[in-house]
Amino acid sequence: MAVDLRDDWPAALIGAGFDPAQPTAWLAEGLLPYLPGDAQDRLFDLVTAHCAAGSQIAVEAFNLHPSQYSAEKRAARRERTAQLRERLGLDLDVDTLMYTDDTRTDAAEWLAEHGWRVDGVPSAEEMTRLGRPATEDLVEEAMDSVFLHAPTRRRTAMSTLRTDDDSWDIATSVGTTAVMVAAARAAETAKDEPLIRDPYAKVLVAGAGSGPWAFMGDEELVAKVAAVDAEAAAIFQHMGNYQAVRTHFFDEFFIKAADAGIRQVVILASGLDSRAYRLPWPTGTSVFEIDQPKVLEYKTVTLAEHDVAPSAMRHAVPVDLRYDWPKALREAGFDTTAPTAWLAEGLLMYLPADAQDRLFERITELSAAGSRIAVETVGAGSEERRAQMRERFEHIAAQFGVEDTLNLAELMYDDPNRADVAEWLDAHGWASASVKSQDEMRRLDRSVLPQEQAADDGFSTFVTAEMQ
Amino acid sequence: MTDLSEVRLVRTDGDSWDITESVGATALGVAGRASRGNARPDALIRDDYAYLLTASAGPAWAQMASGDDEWLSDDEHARRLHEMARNYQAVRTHYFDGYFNAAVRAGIRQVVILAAGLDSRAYRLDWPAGTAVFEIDQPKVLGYKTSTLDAHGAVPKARRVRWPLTCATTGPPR
Repeated sequence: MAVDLRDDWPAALIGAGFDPAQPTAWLAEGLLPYLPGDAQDRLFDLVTAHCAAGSQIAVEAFNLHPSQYSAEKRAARRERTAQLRERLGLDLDVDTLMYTDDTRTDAAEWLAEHGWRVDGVPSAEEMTRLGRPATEDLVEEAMDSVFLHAPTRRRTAMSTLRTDDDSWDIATSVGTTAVMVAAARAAETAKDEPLIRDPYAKVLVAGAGSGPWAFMGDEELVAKVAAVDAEAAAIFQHMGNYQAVRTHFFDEFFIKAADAGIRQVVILASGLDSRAYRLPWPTGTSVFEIDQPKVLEYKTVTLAEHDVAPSAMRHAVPVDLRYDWPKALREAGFDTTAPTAWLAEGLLMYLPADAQDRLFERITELSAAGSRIAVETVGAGSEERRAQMRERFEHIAAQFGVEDTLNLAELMYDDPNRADVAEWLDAHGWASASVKSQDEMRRLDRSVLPQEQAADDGFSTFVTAEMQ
Repeated sequence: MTDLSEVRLVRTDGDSWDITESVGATALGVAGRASRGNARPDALIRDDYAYLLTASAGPAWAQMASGDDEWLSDDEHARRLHEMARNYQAVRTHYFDGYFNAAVRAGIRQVVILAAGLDSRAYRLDWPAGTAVFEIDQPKVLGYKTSTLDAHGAVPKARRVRWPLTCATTGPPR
């Protein structure tokens, strides 16, 4: 008898050239009902044992427990197969092939307990979403199943410091980047002719202690660096300018959205964004901020201590964007029938490509007609160029005693196959417009880099779109 | 109402099957529904190999996979049940196609389809160069698929499609 899924199939798989050290996409579609409960556990055990970091599994999981697999469903299924048998003469009786034992483990629970981060959608929901809902009077007879999609929690190979379910507070990992950009906004605000004013950035940075953000916008330091390395100094200056131009662009986006009558705002991975406190929101505007619990708590507490009150109804939604944030958002009072202005600023580079797609899918599902979105895309800079920059900054940091430089590249998911944001949105019911960040910097007279560097495709694009 | 106790379990621990038998026939059922799904102008997915794979199993299967529900024309309830089952399957295929597309965008170049049956994704999806798709199933099921598709000149889109469990019985890995 040949090897089958009830036997030692991994040995055969490896013998055929499968490499267990490589990330793999597994699929178990239409399979589980034909396995006894214990064979299902063994199958998942073996898959898990042969999974490298970065692997994923997708599963069609049925609810076949006798208490749930109703007589109606079973009768409907039997009726269908009886038709095939009697009218077409086909030898098919699915029901007698399925194992409906009540000892079967719930696939989602099993995977979650064995190192997989499980996400999924009930098949009925997915059918409705794609315009193929179960016929109303036949709902009871429709298949009760869930489509699961689970990346392993094991550290991914693409981003050395990140894992699929890592978390952070304000002074670590991705949290640090929120302080960096707040420091840049504080520096801009302190300028003679600032492009934007963020009066709260300074206290938010001060409360975070000392860190690599100390040099952000430090004019004296820039002058000292310039004496040694003019190009590096220009890059420092450019980084500050970029932050100011970016903040200015997305401030305008929100102001225009409010002018157009939008009264619901969602800031994704808001970090230390103070827009809920500083923009002139019309009365009755709700601003939802989604980020890691500790990051949001830090902002709420720090600003409250300084007697700063939000200028809108601010709702902190402490949930990781890799989990079921739409549920958390709705529970916080988000209205799916009202047009929304969404912002994904400084976020996409910290998401793997598939998580980016999932994020936009969910946003699209939650967006009523007239909703708007603004996105900062990830520039496709070359690996070589980034390595050069990194080396240069380390050298300068050592020379000027800047502590703990942060290797941002290690926090980012550098994914050459990332979907193009504007194209994605245009294909999913939005009408987009794009502005290259270097063009916007020139328009606002904040472009300091030499021409050849400003042409580098490492620059991001600001994409805005409206739901049609 | 159906009494659950009247349902026999015909499976045994070491049972095996050909494409038209037992669990193998469920793969034909799936491919047959996929073939019918292609006929819709608003098809969610296109599986250009489904009809070939179903119809090659015999005239009754060809009728099931063909574009009309003639054989069900006198039974509206059954026709609607079959239509719902086809919709379910189209949505399922669409979902897992999306899963693989996202996985390869994330850089994954190794794929394992457990109990692949007549799944034609190795031929149908746009795999990046160098992707290896491993299909695991019973030798006769994979043998039927390989020989049927080969006979019609279908070429896999993955660089290598390997049939680990059929190496010994149907020839060398491709």
